Amino acid sequence: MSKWNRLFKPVLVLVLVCTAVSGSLAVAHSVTGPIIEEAARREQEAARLELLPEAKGFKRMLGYGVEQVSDICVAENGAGVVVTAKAKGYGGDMTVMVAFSADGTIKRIKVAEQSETKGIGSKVAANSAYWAQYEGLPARELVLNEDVDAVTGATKSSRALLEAVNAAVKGYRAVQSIGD
Amino acid sequence: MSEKTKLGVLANGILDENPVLRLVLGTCPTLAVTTMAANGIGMGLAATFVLLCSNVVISALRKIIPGQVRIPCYITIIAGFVSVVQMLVKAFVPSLDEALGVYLPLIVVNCIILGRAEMFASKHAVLDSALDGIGMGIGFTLTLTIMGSIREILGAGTWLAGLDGLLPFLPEGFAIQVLPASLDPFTLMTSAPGGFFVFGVLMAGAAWLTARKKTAPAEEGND
Repeated sequence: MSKWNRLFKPVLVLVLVCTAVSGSLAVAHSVTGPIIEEAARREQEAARLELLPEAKGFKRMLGYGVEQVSDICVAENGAGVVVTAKAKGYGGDMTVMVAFSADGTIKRIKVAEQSETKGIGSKVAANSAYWAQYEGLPARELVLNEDVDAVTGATKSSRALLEAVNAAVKGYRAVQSIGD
Repeated sequence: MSEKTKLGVLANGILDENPVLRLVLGTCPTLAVTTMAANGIGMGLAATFVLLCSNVVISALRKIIPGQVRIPCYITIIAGFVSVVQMLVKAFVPSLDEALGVYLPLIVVNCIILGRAEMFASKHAVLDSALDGIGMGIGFTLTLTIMGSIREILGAGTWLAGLDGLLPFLPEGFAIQVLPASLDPFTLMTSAPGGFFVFGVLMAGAAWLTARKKTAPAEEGND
């Protein structure tokens, strides 16, 4: 009896608790998983269209293997290219979508995912007025405080955004050079 | 221990045993999150929900869970609740997920929840534990909101900026300008040292209020 209480009961209870919790997680995941995925896919499509409204349908370009670039989508009607790239910010990865016009300039940028400090890094990562600085810049390696200004107190976030845009530029040039 | 009324259990967490200011639990998320009032509200509400659920389940299982493995059991239950909440919020209220995204996973390691499981829920009945969870949650939310308001007003000049993430009917970019925008805000308040300043002042205030409440009846008796 005492051995049962001292040794086996704790183990059994812990195993049961873990199993029950894992089970409920599995149920929750099977219910919400497809909804979350579908929402993310639709959100990406909408974000691409928001950046490049002239485009009619996108073709995903695969196999360029440019570092930090996760996705390159070329508009099927030649309106431009949308590149998704990542860089490490102050609070984790910052995912940035950059739209390039057909004439090879940056049309618009948008930070799709970020976890920068609210009130500080968010002045860079969640501020479309700051992103406007990038509009119209040529698709070449950009330099902080020359092409775009850093936000005071949020240098690391500013640098992360620039790094992601520069990675996107590399991705864009990779697609262009093969297309030419 | 004297038998407490149900209302007493509920009110306990608001001042007398305020989790942040009197028990000094969950200090890390408190300092990190209270840069803005709206963040405090969001974090407080999410923590309250998890606190309520975990208190109820742990109290219901208090006679089954053996003492040696209680901490791993509590943590597993709490982490399970947080993950389920996170998935549900992501799937059905994406705007809330965007506002709370960073703070939801932080709730697992919030000492208030484990602390109340150990100090209260494991020793009391389900209803009392639920009331304790709600009371502690209200105390936590109130404290975070007050701290966030002070830091945001002094540090950024606005109040409740970003509340539109929590309440979708508010216009985007919602904020109440408290100090005139031409005034240079005291940005130190939104960084970590400012958090400690406000935390210290509020703790002193809570201690003063509690002490005053306790001595007041005694003085009357002496007269």
